[in-house]
Amino acid sequence: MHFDLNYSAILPQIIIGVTLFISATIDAFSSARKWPVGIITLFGIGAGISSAVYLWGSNIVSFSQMVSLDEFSLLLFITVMIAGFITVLVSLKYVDDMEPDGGHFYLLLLSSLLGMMFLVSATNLIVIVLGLELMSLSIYPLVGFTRDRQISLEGAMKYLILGAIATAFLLYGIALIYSVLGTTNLYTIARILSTAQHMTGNLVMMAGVAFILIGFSFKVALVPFHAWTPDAYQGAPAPITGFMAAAVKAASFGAIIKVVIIVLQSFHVPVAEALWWLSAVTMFTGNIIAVMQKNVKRMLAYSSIAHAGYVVVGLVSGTAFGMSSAVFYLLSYTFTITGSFAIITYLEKNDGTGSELSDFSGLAKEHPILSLIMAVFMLSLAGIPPTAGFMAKLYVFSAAIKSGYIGLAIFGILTSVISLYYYLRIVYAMYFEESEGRTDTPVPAGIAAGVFIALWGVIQLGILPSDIMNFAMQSIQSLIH
Amino acid sequence: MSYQLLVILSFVLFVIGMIGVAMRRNIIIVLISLELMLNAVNILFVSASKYMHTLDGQMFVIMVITIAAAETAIALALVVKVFKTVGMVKIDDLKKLKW
Repeated sequence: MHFDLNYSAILPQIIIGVTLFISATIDAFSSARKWPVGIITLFGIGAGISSAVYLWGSNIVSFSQMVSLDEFSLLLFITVMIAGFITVLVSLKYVDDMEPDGGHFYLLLLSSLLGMMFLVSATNLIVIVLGLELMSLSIYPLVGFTRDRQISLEGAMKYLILGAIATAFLLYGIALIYSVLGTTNLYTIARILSTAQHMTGNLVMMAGVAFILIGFSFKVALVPFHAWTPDAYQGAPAPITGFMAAAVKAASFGAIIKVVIIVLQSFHVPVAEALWWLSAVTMFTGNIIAVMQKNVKRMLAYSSIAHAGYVVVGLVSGTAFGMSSAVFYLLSYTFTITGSFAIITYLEKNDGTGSELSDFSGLAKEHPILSLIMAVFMLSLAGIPPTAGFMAKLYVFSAAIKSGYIGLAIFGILTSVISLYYYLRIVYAMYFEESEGRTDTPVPAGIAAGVFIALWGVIQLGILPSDIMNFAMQSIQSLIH
Repeated sequence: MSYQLLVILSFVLFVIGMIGVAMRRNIIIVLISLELMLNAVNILFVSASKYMHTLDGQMFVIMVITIAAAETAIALALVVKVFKTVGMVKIDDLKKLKW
């Protein structure tokens, strides 16, 4: 047995890891204000994004077939790192305001990015679990970052308990599959299953797949397993909520897409059925409960549940086009949601209030540009052209129709009509309601920069989607070979 | 002990852990139940590894133990902070966020 250690297979991870050490050192020696740590983090993530762009087109499997670097993992690297970049930009002032000595914010964010990158580049179920845990264990303290707010602690505690249950389910599923096949490597599993058809009907095997599906459904908050989402999203500091909705979701879905494409194609029928039901229930429940919310963070939490349902529509169709439309959806949702939460970060006050619907009333009079951008983000979430959200929904639903899931597509379109109501309510509050005396502070430069990057992404993906869609297609092709 | 018995033992432990997480109200007991679930995974990995004659399973157990330890460390840190702010460590006291 020989060990192949090709370090270029984990070059982006190495860059993020080195940044983590440098930031930790600077954090230890810097004074009370921690924005220099944030700046170093920004440079590190920028270098990570450039390395991922530079490595585009390479296809390396290394570390005893534990990790692979292909276009699929690179595209998701870029997605989660963009989310991290915008989040750090937005938090530069926020962290210094909330915690006098809060440098660990950036360190935890970097280590969760590291976990996400191992999660999407793993080709072994155990590496998937390790990446998922590195990501989750860094996110739990970030949710409880503002530790003097009781809701923050409460959200973190609930997220931790339900996240740990998800991990236990995932691990048990992996152990069941290991006990039948004797391996946890995705490609080996696929090879065994393709030669031994009787295995797909094996009861233990089916139970293992079901456990893994339940574990992943917890992580991306599909409906029967979504209970933690609204609490964790409302309790978390606003930039972290955006990061969770964008990056955590994108990385977990990346792992699901990978497992579904490589392994579960041989299980095709029952898994597609299960995903069909999950996505229909998720889209419906998320949108209906979001209508009743008064708090914007909680409303966007339910909306993020509904959006997970739309991504699953792309998975249900099972074709390469459907999978790439799911990847495209993740990228467009990343831009939209981090931008929206950048604006909510600006409105959030030090005691955690300021994200009620009434806090948005009359915003257009004081901040016309900010309100216009928020309106664009809301239209993108609702799926109105010419924004990224519209193109993403169009691709996902047309993939479903092409594969014959017409009922699911029509149901999805109907639920997105319901969602229009609560997104437009924010726009209505900003433009047509009177404000109740807001203390007027200037928009910090970091938040403005983050919002403009997100806006650029939303418009770019909305007007010229075909280039990005080609990248998504390439990334899915790189998994199929 | 036969392989089937070990698999059944691990499944029973997993279910007991799940019931504990769902039914008990004290956060500490919930965390203990979570550990039980992860240890059920460990038993399954070790017995499958013996049955399959591959060493991978026993290697995974070490990783699962590491994950469980890290999770417990963060959970207990949060419990301490919750106890300082709320004064109790019961699930029912965490009810500021609803619907």
